[in-house]
Amino acid sequence: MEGGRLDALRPVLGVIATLPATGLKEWTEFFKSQGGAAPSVDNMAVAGFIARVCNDVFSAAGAAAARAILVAGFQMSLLIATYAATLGGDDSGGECFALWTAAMVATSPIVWEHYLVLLIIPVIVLASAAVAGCASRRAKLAMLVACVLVFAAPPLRQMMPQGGAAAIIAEYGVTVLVLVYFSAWWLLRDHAVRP
Amino acid sequence: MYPPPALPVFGLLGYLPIHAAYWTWMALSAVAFALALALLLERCKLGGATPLIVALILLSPPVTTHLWYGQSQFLILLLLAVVMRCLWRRRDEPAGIALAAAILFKAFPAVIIGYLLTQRRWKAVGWTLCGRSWE
Repeated sequence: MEGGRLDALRPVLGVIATLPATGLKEWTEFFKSQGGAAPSVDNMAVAGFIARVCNDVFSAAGAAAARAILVAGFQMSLLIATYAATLGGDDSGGECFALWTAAMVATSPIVWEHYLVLLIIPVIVLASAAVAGCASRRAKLAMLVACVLVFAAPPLRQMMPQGGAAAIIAEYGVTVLVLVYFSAWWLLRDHAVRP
Repeated sequence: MYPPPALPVFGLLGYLPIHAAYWTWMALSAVAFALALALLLERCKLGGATPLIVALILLSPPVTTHLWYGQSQFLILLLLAVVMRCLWRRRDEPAGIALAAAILFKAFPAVIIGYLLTQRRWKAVGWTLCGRSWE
């Protein structure tokens, strides 16, 4: 095990040594541009949702600080929870990978509608477990509600007049991300041995 | 938002006339999507539910929106499917390189390194970081 860890450290040292020579400035500019989670309602990311709530609740100066703290707190919490849930776990059915894929999309600062295609991985892993009879009821239910929202919300949103219910439906993307994450979480935690 | 290493991919398409570039990109996307689905379905058996699940996926708004706007997530999906398949087959080198390619194209797949760490796939982590340093 120790030898394996040392093997992994060597490339890390290589990356650190070469990074300044291979475009550190471009990468710095790129990461700077990631700071403001696009507050557009079309951004389904949890970070975008937090940004919208902060813009409504706080003043301009306070909103930026609150947004940064809340987004960082959410991302760190989700990643730590995912790490703890999957640490050393058997992944023969792909449940751990599915949970990490859901976490990847949920922690992205920007999630447009087409990003949801990446959730095909947790969908297929859950469907496979369901066919094998080892997916829990709550995991299936959460995924089912997420899928219904994905199909029903966009046309509903177009049909409704602006404001009120339309504003709530417009936030369906955040609900989908959370439901898919919990579905993958419950699939892993309630995991039954495949026949 | 694309990180700097993604630019050469689009730069190459820039050498083509606009319609040829568009259709080349769309063809690449379609092939990537088909391959990704094939890889995932080969590993995750759905039995008789396969046609229904595939039809629902193809008709889902995220897929149709993706096709409409000519987006790039199908390539990321394919690379993640390759990572998944290679790891299952205990082939850490190609898994690490595929994940590095995904990270070079979009930054957020870097989160998947966490999965490699939890599974103690140190070799794959090493190859991901090596591939990432190619930039």
